[in-house]
Amino acid sequence: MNQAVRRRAPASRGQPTGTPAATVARSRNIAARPALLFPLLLGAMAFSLTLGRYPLELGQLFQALLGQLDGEQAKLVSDLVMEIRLPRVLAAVLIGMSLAVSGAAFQSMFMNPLVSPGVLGVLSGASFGAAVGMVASGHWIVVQLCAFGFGMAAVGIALLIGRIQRQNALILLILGGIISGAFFNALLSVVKYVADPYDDLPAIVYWLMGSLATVDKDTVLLLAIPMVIGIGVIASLGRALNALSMGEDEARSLGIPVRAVRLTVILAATLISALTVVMGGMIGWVGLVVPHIARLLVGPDNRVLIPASAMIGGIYLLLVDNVSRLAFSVEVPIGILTALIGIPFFAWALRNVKRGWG
Amino acid sequence: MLEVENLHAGYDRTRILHGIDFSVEAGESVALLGPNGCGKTTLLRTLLGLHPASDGEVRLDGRPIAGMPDKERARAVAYIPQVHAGAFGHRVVDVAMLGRSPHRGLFEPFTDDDREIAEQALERVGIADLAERPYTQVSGGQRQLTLIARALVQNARLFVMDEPVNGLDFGNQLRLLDLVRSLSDQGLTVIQTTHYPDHALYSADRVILLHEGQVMANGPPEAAMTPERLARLYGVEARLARVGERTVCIPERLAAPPP
Repeated sequence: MNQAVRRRAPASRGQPTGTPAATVARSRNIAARPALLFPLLLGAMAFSLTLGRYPLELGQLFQALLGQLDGEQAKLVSDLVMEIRLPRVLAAVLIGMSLAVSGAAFQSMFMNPLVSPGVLGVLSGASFGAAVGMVASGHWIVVQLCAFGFGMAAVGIALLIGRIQRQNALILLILGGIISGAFFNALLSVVKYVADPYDDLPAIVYWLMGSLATVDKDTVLLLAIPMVIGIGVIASLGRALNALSMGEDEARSLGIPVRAVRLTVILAATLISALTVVMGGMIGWVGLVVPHIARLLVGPDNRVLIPASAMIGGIYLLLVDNVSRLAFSVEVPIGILTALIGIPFFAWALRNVKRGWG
Repeated sequence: MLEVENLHAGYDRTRILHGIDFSVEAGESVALLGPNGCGKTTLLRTLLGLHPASDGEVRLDGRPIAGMPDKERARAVAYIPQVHAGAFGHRVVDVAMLGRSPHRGLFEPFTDDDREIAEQALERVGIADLAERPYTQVSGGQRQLTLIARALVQNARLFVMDEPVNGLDFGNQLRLLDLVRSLSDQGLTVIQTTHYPDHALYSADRVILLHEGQVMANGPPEAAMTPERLARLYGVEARLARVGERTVCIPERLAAPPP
């Protein structure tokens, strides 16, 4: 794409024919490319719904979704789709979207393409919370509430540390996140150490690897609402994020209410990231990898990048989850796969640091 | 249009500006000179409303700039920072279009009109052909021009420029100074900081010399920059000399350190 841009002939406004003008026309319609990704996401969802120990055909699938199946197997197939596969597919899509959108937003906000959604400590806090919940009660709802609560608390601590000094607010915020994250990781070790090694400890360890095997329909539907709202809030701030990616002083002198936008983005991103842990445990590297892929496809403009990251994040985690549940005879925790894919990708992405992004 | 009255400012316990007074008329081009650490940057940030004054005030057309909403101030005052690389390769036209932000709601999308305005501004600074290029992949001079185009898009009356020629090559420095001149000839008010007396002589109507947080001199470049003041400011023995039509500043040697 860069090649094409470089070769572009100078200033050819208002000419509908020829390649250069076509480039302009296409790039003007900034919503086009993320919109193209949406049918791809739907296709990936339909495809994933047909996969499993009991393979379905697309026709059967649509009949089941529309409640039009008759005969003996009707109940079986429709239960399989509606109660088991659809919740899991939705969970994968929502988690992938949330992590990718948080990552993309944080990268612009911190003016650093190498930060991830966990930069302010939300994932560490949520992991600790989940572990505490498992040791203390074992009720699923308690685990989820603790994961959510401590995820939010960890970011709150990072924000408090970041406010110590008014200058260099961003770097202090990142340091605050590192401190907060390290603190909750240490607390997590304490919980692991005191946890019952036959029962609680394996549960905690498994949780930290991330898995969608235990998602249930009610949780997914309940959490979907705040997740979609959080994603929507961040997507609506795309233009403000573009200004923020030029630096605080410049954004403010362009009339952007920097602190309000920053706080809104942090809150929304923390909310949806914490909810991904509630839904599926720790699933790392998605928020770092997907925004890079999205930037390669649609460029760095957040008005397009955020929706594109959402679509690609959904597709990506869906495909990884399919591998996680089907490729091996035993299900592999999805967090292991996203890490095994994400870490080499990260190393590769570092090569681009000097060249500028997008 | 801009009045600075008894301005004090600083960070935590460090006081940096100690009672600055000056005013700038509409259409003037003013250069701020002073050694590193004299408070130039703090003064600029205070003028832009980005840094609070601890005493005194800055008024724009009679109104205190401190209480002005960011958006309203952004329609009157544009900030052109030192040229920077930027972390992301936004297209040049998109960077310029950000200048429309104060004219649109936070959630309101930009329209084709906004893009038209951005393209015209790029045309005006002579880089219309770079519109689709990533900002990270054009030269330093072209990035600085992009930031000036963004200020034009902003439609501000006052341009505040922080060392606009910093890091540019010989030719691009002159190109930029000429552009600054022509902007002020077209009626815009310009305040720029610079490290080069020659650049003040070349492109400013007036210089303000800043020394340890106070105004040392304020007047036409040739009158204000006396050898005594340059020696006190920079520790350099320098003189102004006439060469043809132009006055230039010639550094002779480092001044003897004060006893």
